[in-house]
Amino acid sequence: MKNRLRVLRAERGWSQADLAQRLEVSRQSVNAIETGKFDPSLPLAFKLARLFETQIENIFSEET
Amino acid sequence: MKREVESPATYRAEDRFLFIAVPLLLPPFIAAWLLHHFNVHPTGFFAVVCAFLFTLPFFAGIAIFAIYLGEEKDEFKRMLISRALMWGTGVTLAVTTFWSTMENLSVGPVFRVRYVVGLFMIPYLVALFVLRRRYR
Repeated sequence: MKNRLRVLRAERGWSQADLAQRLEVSRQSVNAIETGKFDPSLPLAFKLARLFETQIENIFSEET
Repeated sequence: MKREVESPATYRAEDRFLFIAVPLLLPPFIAAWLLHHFNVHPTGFFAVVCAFLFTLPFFAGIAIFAIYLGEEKDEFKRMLISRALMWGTGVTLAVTTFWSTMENLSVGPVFRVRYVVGLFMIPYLVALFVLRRRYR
């Protein structure tokens, strides 16, 4: 699954550690999601969407 | 190098290991040492009790891992630990099966039960290290 996490994070000037702290997960988790090595669960995806004040579909998209 | 802050669930699991699982390793090792030192060969109910002592750290370890996996909110960390546990369990099952077959065929030395903890922990820790390096 592709995602725009890195872009959204950069727009806000947050580091991976900053985002991890806001999500209450490890920095490794953020890195794994950003690089597409790990797909988050639905609750975490909703948490991301809430944090970036957008829809899940604006963050994640199917790999084509 | 700056060490990353672990989750509260990790600290609780570490405390549980330190104060529950590790002390539970002592009775079987003391029993094994005493039996060896005094050349005692327990039989009957006493033998069953001795054998049961060796399982206590495993019961505690499994319970601590289960509690940790239930408490850990970071799903990615849960996945890493679960995978490492699978490696530890898989290698332990494979090696003990292989070794016991060798023993049954009388072509291998007797497997010492005290090695089982290490047999599990080594692949578990190696897998955890490799997985963490992969996703760092």
